[in-house]
Amino acid sequence: MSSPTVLELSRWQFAVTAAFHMSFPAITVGLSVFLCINYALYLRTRDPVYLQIYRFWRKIFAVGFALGVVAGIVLTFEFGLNWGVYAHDVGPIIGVIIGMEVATAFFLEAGFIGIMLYGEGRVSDKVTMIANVMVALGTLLSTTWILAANSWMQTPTGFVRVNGQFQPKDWMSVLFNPSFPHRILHMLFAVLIAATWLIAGISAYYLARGRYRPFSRRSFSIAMGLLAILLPWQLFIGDNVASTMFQYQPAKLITLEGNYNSRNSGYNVLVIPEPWADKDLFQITIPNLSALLGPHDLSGQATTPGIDTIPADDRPNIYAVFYGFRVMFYSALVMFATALVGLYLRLRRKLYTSRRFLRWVTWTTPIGVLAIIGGWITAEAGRQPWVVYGQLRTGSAVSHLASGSMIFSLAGFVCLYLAMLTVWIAYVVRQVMRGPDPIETMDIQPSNPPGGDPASQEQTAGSSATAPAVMTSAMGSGMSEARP
Amino acid sequence: MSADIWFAVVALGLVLYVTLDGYDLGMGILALSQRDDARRRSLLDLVAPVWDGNESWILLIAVGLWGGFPAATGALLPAVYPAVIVMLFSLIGRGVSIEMISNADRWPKAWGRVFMVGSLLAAFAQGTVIGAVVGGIPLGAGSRFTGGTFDFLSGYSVLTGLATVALYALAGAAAVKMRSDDAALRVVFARWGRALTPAAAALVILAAALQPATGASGLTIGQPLRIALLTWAGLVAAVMFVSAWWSFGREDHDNLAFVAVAIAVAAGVAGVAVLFYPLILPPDLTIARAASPSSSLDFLLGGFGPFIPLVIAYNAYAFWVLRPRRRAAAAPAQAKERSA
Repeated sequence: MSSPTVLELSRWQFAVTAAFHMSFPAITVGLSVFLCINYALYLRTRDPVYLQIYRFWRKIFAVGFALGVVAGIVLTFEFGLNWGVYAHDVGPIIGVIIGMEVATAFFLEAGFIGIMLYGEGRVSDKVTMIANVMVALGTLLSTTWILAANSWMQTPTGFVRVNGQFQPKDWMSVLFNPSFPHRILHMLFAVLIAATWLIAGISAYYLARGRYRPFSRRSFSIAMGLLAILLPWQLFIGDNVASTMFQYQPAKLITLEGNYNSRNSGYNVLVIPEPWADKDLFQITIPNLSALLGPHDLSGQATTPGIDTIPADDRPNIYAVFYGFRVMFYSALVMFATALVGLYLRLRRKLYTSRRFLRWVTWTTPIGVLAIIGGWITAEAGRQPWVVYGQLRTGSAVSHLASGSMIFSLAGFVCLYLAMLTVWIAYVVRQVMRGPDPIETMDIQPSNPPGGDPASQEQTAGSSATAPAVMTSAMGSGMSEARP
Repeated sequence: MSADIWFAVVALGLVLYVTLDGYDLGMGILALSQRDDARRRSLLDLVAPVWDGNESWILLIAVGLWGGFPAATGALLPAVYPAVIVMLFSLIGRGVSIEMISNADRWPKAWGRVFMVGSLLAAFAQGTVIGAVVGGIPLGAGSRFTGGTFDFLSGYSVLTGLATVALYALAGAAAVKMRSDDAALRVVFARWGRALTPAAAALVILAAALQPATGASGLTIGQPLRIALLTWAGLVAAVMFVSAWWSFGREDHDNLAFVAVAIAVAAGVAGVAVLFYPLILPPDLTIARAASPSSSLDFLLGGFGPFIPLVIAYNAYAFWVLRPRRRAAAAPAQAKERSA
């Protein structure tokens, strides 16, 4: 078998490459939906501001999507490269699910993205719309399959083991395993929120400087409206995820609570654990809060089970799980509070003018992505030491490799990915600095009715009223303000 | 039975990948032959809109193998770890460089080098993997790879690596003829195509001829049916190479060279499949033993299968919609001027 170093290096390599990959879909899945909505609004109203929003975000989407694809190919190969035993044992289930993802979702995106990005002027705007819908559908389907596969690894059901290999017995119960319904919803909301927050942050940056007025105002209005709807739901869904987790993967929930004994009913805001001594060196705790959040005990007396109830060999890494969760949870709370303040400011008609609020949203631009990465660290590190929970240990799933190979590949990935991250951030910043193309110089397809005259701001706000119901309510009072 | 059908699906993935990503990797390799940045840029402009669509076919091979033949995936990939890692690094660097160059106004030297060298290394690494598989990968208990890091590297796998580079460059030259509207570029790469056709053919023939000497012990070409099928594959490939060579010498028949290369690739992959059957990973892992249980294969065939024609259909549509527009009559006239 392989040496412990190879296992550790393989785990680090997977963590680095998976987290890096994740940060792209975290943005592009939501962006593809946002692009769809804007293009649909444009076709409906022929208001060029929607087209301007669409084209600006499409540029960022295009590069993010391409980088996500490349980083995703790496992951597909890594399952076999570094985790050969895992590939052999779960192939009949996970390999098939990932295969379905590639066939039904990934190729849909790959086939239509070219038309979406380069098709304008070559195809009618209806075909462009279809391409947009297909790409968005593809990204959503893709998320669904991946979550089905990952959820099966968290809560495996519907299989038999033959000579160590997992073989599907009942596909319905494989796919709709106990944690899947909650986790897919949680993830879909998360990617929508992360993308919307990115849009809100960049629009806020423009608004605070008074640049690209109709563009930034409308983007910000749509984004803040969507966030005020999405965030409360997300907190509720997250609570459901935690309940399922407590039922099926208690070790993960116990570890993210961060108590070594079972006497605490309070919520640990921060701990400094000493895993080698089975205790927390230092704790900041809000009394009774955990009882309320966890088992929903209004008396506040219910205590959380401690890590000492988990056999020593089956404990996840407390640093990763506790802090991964805190990063996600605190980010969610910050976003929720910000969305509420945004709603309040909108009602007070100060949403576009409160400089302090705009600056705050600008500074928090990447917070949604941060929350997603924190959440995935919790999910994956919390499953350890299992790769298939309760069935296959990570330590026995690793390939027979030389540690030299692992050092070479891990070092290479770290360097390449740091370079790519720099390039990606520089690209986004440059696009933001350059700003959207001015409406006057945009080449708009001749099929436009004369109503879409760029100069008539009145027309713009008025015709938006025909937008779909959700959008209208999301934009609510923002629209009346959009009038000059 | 369903395992054999799935084996054919993976082989189809290989044909599509080698043909499609082969041509855009080939354009990257061909860019190395040019000193003029504007000409490199014209090549890159042909690659930029299609590279990630073309590259995505590698996933059909990867997940087709994993879902259908998990034992083969779990054994093969660790055995060729360094080659696949080099391929991944090259594909990543290349992908980023294409986006960077398309967004830059001039030809950025450093990114340009990443694009060209990345294309070359990716092609070579893929070729060595093919050679390693044909040469055979001995497995330990439970079909696990237990050998050394560089066991896959041999004179034979270097030869197949070079053959792959030549073949991809040839596909690139054929694709320039098919898709470019730049007369000067077409002339230059028709000349390259004319030279690359015999070069690629020679390397492929050499690799095929050396196979019985260096190939894995499990592979035999004894049986009459196998000999007949291999002969046919060889004949088809030979006719296609000649057609491509002929087409490069003419200013019309723009699609012929590329179609011929694609059919030659299909014949080559079919030949390898015929040579391997019933093995999937020589010398001893069979298709039947590597396959997932029927509950998995049936799900794949029922769920995945129907999407394959659909996927090919909308990719073909995109390929057609995004074709570069010809400046109709002007192009051949200019071409004559240049070549005169």
